[in-house]
Amino acid sequence: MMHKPLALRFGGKSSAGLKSINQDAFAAHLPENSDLEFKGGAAVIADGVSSCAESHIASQTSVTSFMQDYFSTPHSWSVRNSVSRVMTALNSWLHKENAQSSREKDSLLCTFSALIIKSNSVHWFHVGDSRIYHLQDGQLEQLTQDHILKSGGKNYLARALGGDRHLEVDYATRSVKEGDMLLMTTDGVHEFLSSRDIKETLSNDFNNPEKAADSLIHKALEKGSDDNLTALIVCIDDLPNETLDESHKRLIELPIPPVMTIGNKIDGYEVLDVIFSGTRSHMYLVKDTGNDQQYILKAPSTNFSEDTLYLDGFIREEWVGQRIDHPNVMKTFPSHRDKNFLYYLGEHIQGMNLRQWMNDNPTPSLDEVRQLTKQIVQGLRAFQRADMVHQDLKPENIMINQDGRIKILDFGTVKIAGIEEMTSPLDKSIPQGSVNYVAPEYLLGEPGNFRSDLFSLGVIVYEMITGKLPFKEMSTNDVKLKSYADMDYTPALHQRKGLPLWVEGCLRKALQPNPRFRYEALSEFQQDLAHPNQSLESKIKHQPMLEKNPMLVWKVIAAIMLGLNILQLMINH
Amino acid sequence: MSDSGKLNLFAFNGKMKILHLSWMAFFITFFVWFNHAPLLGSIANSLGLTTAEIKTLLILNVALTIPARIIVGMLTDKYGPRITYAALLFLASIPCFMFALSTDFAQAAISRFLLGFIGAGFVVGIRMVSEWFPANELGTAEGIYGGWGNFGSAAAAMLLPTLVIIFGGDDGWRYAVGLTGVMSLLFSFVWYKNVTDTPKGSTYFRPKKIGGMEVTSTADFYLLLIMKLPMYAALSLLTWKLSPAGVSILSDAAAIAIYIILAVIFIYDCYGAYRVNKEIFTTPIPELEQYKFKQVAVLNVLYFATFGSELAVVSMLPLFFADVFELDMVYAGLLASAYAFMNLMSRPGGGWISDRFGRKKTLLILTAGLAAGYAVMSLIDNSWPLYLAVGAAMACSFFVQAGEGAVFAVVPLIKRRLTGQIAGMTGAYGNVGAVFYLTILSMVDYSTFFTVIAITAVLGFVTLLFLEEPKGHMAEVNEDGTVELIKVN
Repeated sequence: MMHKPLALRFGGKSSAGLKSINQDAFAAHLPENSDLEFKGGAAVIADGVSSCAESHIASQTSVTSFMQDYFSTPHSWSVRNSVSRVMTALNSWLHKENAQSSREKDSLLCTFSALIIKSNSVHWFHVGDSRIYHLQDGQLEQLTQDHILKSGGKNYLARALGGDRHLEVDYATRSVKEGDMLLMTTDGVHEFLSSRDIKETLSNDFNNPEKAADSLIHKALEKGSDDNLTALIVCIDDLPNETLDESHKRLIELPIPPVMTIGNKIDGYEVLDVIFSGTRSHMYLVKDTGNDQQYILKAPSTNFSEDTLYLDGFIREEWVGQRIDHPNVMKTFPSHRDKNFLYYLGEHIQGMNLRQWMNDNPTPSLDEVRQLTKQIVQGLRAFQRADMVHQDLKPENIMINQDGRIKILDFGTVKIAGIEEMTSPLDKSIPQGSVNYVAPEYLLGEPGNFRSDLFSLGVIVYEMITGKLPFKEMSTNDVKLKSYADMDYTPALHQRKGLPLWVEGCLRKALQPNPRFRYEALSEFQQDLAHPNQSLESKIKHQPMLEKNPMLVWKVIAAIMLGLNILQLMINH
Repeated sequence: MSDSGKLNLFAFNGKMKILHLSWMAFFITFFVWFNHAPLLGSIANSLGLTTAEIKTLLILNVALTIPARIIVGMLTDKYGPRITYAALLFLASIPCFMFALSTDFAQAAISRFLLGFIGAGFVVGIRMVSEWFPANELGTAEGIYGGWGNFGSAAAAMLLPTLVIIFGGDDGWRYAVGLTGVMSLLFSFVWYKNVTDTPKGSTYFRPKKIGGMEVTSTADFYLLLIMKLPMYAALSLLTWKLSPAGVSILSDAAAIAIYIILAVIFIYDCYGAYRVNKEIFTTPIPELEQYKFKQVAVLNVLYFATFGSELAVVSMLPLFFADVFELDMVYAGLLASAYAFMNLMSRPGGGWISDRFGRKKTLLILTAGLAAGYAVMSLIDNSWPLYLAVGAAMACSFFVQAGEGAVFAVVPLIKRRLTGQIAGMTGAYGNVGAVFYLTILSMVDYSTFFTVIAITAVLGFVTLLFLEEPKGHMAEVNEDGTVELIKVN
């Protein structure tokens, strides 16, 4: 890695104080190598609820398993997704233990506050009355709100980990700077210290967080704290800020290989066939001369030697293909030898793409379409599980191999939640989709999610059934959309006579220009494509005139108004 | 996924279909653009034109092309090559018919001026071809496009005089010119029906930064402003030529108005360049993005001398042969077509030589040859045997057109991202050259005209010394087929 990595220092102290047993727990971890980039550094603090006898078990278990589990989540997941899954699992485990065990009711309960520093942001997650503070430029700010109910002069914890089957966790994120400090405390500390005390202590000891934590605890004890006391401090030394020059250098580190012909050898791979040679990339069938294994070798076109966004996408393609392990998604393979050029190795798929299939099968049976759609949906769900959105689904990017198995390819524009939240000097604000298949929200400048892939899939299914596109074709050069209402849908029924109404209803729902009105899940779409959905069918049958032919409706209304006006005139006279 | 490379000239599908239709479209634009050159004799007779008026027509024909190249380039960016070329071919047929029907010098002049627009067709096809051909085949594909399309002027010189005879009568030239307009009109539909802007399925889009040329240092910014001047100077020169100081088509007031308009446009153009480039005054440009604008300037000058002189010579050569050797126009036109005929081979050849033997070395040799060639042509008089004169013209045209090919072989290597803009500016300089040379022609005799071209070629040679050899490939294929990294520096 060229740029400087994230550097944090931690300092924490925990004390039982006047109590006999310490029910607080804390942990902090800064991983090495790629985990550091994708998962960042983490700090957590938990306070066992004092009324429970075994709450120290709850707090300790939560803290340790959080650390283990968080750093085992896939690199492609966003911080929010990773933490919420880990916390959900923790909560259910605690809740189940409580429900099953012979212990006193609700014994495993604790507050829980976690912070993750990834790229240039801090993400925090919070339940209960522990606190997280942020010190920046001499200003101390409390990031969390205490979840407390006041009743009869006493404070009760309103939310805690393990308290309920359903857990509500506060989540927020903000950017941080080098030199910032973050402080996590349990109520034994912050109940007894003013924010001025805290600010002073932290400001004095940026270089020694251990000492600062220690003195916070001592001060709280002096002020009469009668609870367990824990303070955990995170000092931010370096943030991973890649400059544009650095990211350019990283991307062009490996040169683009020249265009090759059959028999050429590159890094020990021999070109057996030229599969594709285009303006964007070149694809070859190659054989590893070491073990005779066959691969696809894809290299970028020199047309893009200076296009950092394209190169970034190219590198991402290899990354994605190695992380999604699914029979309906093309795999990419790590090279056994050092690479001297920019290319990647992929699985060799023999067969045709969906475009060719559509050319060969102009009027397929609905069942054939369903079989293929089912596999595409399965592939897309693998993307969804990895917290990724394909963003460029089209018939040319879907292969059907000789066994009839679907393989989704081309991951150059895949949106990866876990990478999206890293700051990058490259301008990724404009996704590159393919006209006619790209979801309209992108054209309106909004970010996409799996529903955008669903839209593209809807277009593909529509095209398989009818051979036509559902919306007016757009020109490549001037793709603009003012609002969702500008998308003019042609019912599939008009293109293929005798199509069941419910299939039309299903397609129409998947192809809603506004993502809010599309299916909530890929599986629902698949379900409705296979089984008649009465409500969608009746929607089409009893579609209000206003939707069916708005122009006519308004014309009629205008005519009636005019008639009334004339009538009024005549009566008045 | 069936496209596995290999340029097969005899194929007519996929990208080859696009290439063939592109060069045909370009061919027709040149055919129309130079439909007057071989017919000048009969046109002059029929409309009663003086020699000065004929030479004015020649300049007018290339004048509007200078701004048109820029406008058409922007339209291509916005609407795509399919619509733009179709519209250009369609609309250009109108002034073509106007010219065929004109009854006096003023009408002929106006229609010829408007016909200058069709000369901008070149840029549309350059874009089209680049959307369809992979990087390694692009040079050859663009060479075929440019060379075969340019041949249109030779075809006009060969065919039109014969057509005039077939139609016969005083109005024969009108039918011939009208027929080229019909061709343009018909091909407009053929083009629109048969091409798509991008290969199916690879229809990617990304908003492009539209506006002025981008430069990467402040010194280059001022060089850019200086390099803009000749384009306006050429248009001013033309206005002067048409004003009472010249052939008096424009009144003094109109001429002054045009000067003012040109000045305003120039200021606006400079402001546009500033708007696109204002970042360079505050933030340094990342290393990878930097390039040297002087490279562009050198290519502009070279294209001024090569393509500029070709346009000028193609327009006047039939008349030159007819005048000097006292030939009839059909025969003179046929002989003159020998010059443009060379395009078929020399332009792609120039690119090929440049690929083989190094960019700068090729350009140096070709430019030297060009200077010598025109020097020889300046010596031609009626004491020369005809075959020797034709031979000299052909030899000279080889250097001119190979030079054009070699210039465009360097264009994509300067700054890949800006290739379109660099190509557009270089192309515009070709027209500036044509206006310049034709204005010279209107003032001096043939021999001096060729001498002036030879001198500018020598100047081109000197500026060429400032060109830095573009950095070559970082990787190469060895004799045994192994791809290896070549260390640069």
